[in-house]
Amino acid sequence: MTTYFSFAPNSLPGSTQALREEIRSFLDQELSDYPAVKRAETWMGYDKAFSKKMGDRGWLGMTWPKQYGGHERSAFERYVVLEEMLAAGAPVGAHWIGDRQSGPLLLRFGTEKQREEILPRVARGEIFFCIGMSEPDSGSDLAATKTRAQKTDGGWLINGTKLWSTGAQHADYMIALFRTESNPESRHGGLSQFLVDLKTPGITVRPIKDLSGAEHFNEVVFEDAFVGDDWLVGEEGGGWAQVTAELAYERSGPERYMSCMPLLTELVREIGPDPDERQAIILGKLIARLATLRQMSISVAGMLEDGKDPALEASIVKDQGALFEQSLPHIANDLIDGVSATGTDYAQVLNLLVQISPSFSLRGGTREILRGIIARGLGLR
Amino acid sequence: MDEISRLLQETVTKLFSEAVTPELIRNFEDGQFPEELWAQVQELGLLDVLVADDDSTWTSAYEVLFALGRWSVPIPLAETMAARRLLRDAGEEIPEGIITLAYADDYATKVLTGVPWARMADYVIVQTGTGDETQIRLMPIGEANVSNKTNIALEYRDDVDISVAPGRPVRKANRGPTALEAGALVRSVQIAGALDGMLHEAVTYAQDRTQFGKPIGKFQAIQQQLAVLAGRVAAVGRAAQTAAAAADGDDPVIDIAIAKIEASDSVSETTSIAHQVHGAIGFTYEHHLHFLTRRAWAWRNEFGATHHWALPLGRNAAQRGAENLWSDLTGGV
Ligand SMILES: Cc1cc2nc3c(=O)[nH]c(=O)nc-3n(C[C@H](O)[C@H](O)[C@H](O)COP(=O)(O)OP(=O)(O)OC[C@H]3O[C@@H](n4cnc5c(N)ncnc54)[C@H](O)[C@@H]3O)c2cc1C
Repeated sequence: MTTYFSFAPNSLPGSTQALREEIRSFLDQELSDYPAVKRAETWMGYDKAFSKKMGDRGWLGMTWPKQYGGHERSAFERYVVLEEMLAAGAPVGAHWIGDRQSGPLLLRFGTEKQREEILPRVARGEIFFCIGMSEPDSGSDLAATKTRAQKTDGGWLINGTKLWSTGAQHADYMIALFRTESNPESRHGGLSQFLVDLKTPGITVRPIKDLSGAEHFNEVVFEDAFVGDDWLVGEEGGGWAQVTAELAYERSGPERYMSCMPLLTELVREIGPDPDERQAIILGKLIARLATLRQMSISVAGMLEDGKDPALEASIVKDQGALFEQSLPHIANDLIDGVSATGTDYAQVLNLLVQISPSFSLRGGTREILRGIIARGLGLR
Repeated sequence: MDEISRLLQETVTKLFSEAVTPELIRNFEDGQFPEELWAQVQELGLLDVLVADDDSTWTSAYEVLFALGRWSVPIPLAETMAARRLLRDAGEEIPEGIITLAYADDYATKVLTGVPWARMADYVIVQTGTGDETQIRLMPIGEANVSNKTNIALEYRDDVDISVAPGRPVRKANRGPTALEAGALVRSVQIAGALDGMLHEAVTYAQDRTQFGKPIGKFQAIQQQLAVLAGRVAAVGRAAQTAAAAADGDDPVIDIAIAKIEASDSVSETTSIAHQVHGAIGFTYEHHLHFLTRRAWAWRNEFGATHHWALPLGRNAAQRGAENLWSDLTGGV
């Protein structure tokens, strides 16, 4: 057993099997004619009606206290819901951010009023979140955040630009990191988190086309947008510690290695029952890696269930997961000769994921930043 | 971790970290088997870790196997431990002494190659074929012709001519790993241990070695490489642990295949990083890093290299088809 990190050999409790069956039959029904190329969007697929149905089933806010609309289920049960959704390529994008990070953040740092007002609606699949961390001049270096929250009567006036906010064009709320002090003593000081209603006057959301032609992320401009005192999240000036905690939620889930699961499925279909030797060997290696990442990810779920902080382990899974899911489209591309341009399901899925794959080691913290976190865990920084 | 595993871990970590010095390994490589250590291991009952009780588990034995890899321990413990368990699973008497494991594709094979520790073993369990073709034999080595050979870590990997004495058939156990699977499991866990050793060596070295006025571990290029090494160490350890747990169940072949693929397939990248971080000193015989890296290079090919295990895994997945891919992956848990 190594001393640097811990990946306990957890397996999912047998009691999750019934839940898994329930999800699968739900998905069979819901997605019976959902095309492969849509499935390939996995957690970029956006469908509020689908999210509402998940809320109705009790599959959002699963681990939260009942008093805030949650269901007090285990981290393992939540894990099963996540991985089944991703494996099927269900359109989970609408609720993904609220369920994964904004909700847990409010649960931990929010005021009673914020929790009571917001969380039950997130768990019902009625309101949706986006993340406002990055800015034009603040990417990996989040402490360089410039967007200002200036104290005014009864609240704050916001000015500046958030960039790359996924789903902001459809979302109701943003959890945003703003500068509340211009020249703080420490580099990580002077930042605060706010819960921002995106319908607030003075906020303009402009979608940005990505290289595949799709519009997922956005520029969000704030011009004297007013946010009431009640919507400061956590402590004024405590934004850095809170955003670090939020990023740990963001990095802990199975979406960090499963983005290409629909491609692997289509690849197996395309190869058919009689693979040549090279195809079989490479397929075997891919399956071994996928199975191992899944085991590691379940270990992380186990740490969450035990109330431990898996920040290092989650970064390791995300880094290894990104390597896997980023290489998969290119490995697949080399496995079958003469894939037609956009003819088959397989070709469409492959073409989409080849294009999306560069983002896998950017979103949620770049490869280099994650490896810095891992190096810190090794005692090197 | 359960109590037995924890105790075993403590015992072997203490024993091996103190006894298995670079000098001991160098002496072994000069032809001097560590008799005293081997005697200690026997006294501690480590040969029986997998057969001591009805509820002795591979899960606990993992700790011993991992430590054997972690500390580059040059003794035939892993094989003997595993062989004793295989005989017990098959309902056979367990003979005294060192027992090793061998595999050949074909029953008619006359010379078994690369048999671990054969020159000092009393028996070898020979598996020929896999799946429905599997045949298992137990053979006293004394009756066979052994030619001394080694792997690249200079561990004994001998050729055994069995044409005169093919041994006697042994029942097939109806649960747990076959001899080949047990060998692959053992090597996977040993590789996990060796990789963990490399990570410790490389991180420690990066903290100690100063260039340009600071420890090289402060350079981002070094940190990023060590982070990748850590990722592979974590993955191989997790896969090997899962395989050990599976070996306590009925049919561990898939989990063992996964572990051996992950272990073998990670050796190239991890050994490269460990050496890169160490610079020239790690390339000397004097430095001890190579006791770990040479073992990893050898072990990845023993009891089936990556392609040996990946081929049937991939074929099986293709035959099962897209519809079953995910449910098969999640079937275990
Ligand atoms: C698809 C997608 C969705 C996104 N969604 C959101 C969202 O919803 N909300 C949000 O706030 N942000 C979002 N982001 C932004 C994402 O968090 C940033 O892209 C990321 O943090 C990196 O910032 P950057 O793009 O400005 O790159 P930069 O920080 O400029 O980095 C460019 C390169 O330099 C490297 N680099 C930077 N600093 C260092 C350093 N100290 N050491 C070594 N290398 C370094 C980086 O690793 C990278 O390789 C999204 C991004 C993508 C691609």
